[in-house]
Amino acid sequence: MNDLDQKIRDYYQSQSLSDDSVARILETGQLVRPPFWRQPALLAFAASIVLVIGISLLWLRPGPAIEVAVAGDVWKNHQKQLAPEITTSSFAEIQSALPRLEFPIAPTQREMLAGMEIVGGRYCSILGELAAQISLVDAAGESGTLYVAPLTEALSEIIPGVYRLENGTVQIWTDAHRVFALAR
Amino acid sequence: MPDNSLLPSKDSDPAFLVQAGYRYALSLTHHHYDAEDLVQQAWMKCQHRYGGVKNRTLLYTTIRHLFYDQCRRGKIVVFESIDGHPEPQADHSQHTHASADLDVLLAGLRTEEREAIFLNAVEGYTAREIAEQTGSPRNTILSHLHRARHKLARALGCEPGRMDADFPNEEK
Repeated sequence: MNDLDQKIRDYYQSQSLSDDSVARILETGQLVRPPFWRQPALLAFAASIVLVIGISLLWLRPGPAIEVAVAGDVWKNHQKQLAPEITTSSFAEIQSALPRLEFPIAPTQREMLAGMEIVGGRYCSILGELAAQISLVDAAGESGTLYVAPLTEALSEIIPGVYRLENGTVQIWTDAHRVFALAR
Repeated sequence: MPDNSLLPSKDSDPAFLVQAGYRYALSLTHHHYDAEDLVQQAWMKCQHRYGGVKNRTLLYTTIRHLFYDQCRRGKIVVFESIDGHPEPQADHSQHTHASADLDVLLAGLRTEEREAIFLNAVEGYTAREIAEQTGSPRNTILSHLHRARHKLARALGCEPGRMDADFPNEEK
């Protein structure tokens, strides 16, 4: 250590802030809030808000339209080609053979089924509703399936139309408080 | 990292850190109120950005950045001495205390020279450590130290000190 260094050191060591100034700086510093990402409680709060919003958006996300769900359900059933419980060419006989159906199964607009013959019928369900599944066949020997269900509140917003699925179509219409869906 | 063996390790004491920061700011500004403002701003900035002043190096770096930022914006005006002109002279007839002499002499040094001599003589930093701290080449720091020592030693009439004594931690 030389004399010059000692003088410089003594000079700077003699320079200091008053106790009041030091206290003021420390107090001011304590008032400064660190950014929120350095505050675990705020960070956790922000993360939980984001999580809640994310879950809400997921929960509130609209599901597929009711007609799409019905068409998909119908097409899946049609693909199974289940054997009818009663073999007949008459709506009336199917109605009699399926007494749990509390609604008429015969459509008033028969033109939708033009060129097709009834083969038989059985119970089924569409979106949890008990329904009739009527097997049909056209002149070319191609099979089709008609589904009839009551127009419940759950199905009330269904939009009639022709929906294309895989290798076929599902035509949906409503008629006298019932929903008809023809898969072919 | 600097080996501040000459100073007690009191970085955990906030009041000590404030005083150390003030002295470093003083080495930059050579003005009491500017130095006080600087250390206060740096303290608040560290609190806001890092949640506190973790150590002296962080505080010094923050002070330095603030100082040069304010110089650029004209809030602090640095009066540079003109090299080649008469070097700082201690007027012994007017200043009876060595401290007052040194105050005038330090005011006549360039900011970089004053900062380097403070970090070396007071804080015990080596030229290499000062270079790392300030982002300047080590040879530039050596030049600052050499010039500052010779100016002060000539004015005070004492020895500037040998280089190996100047840098006790420097690799030989």
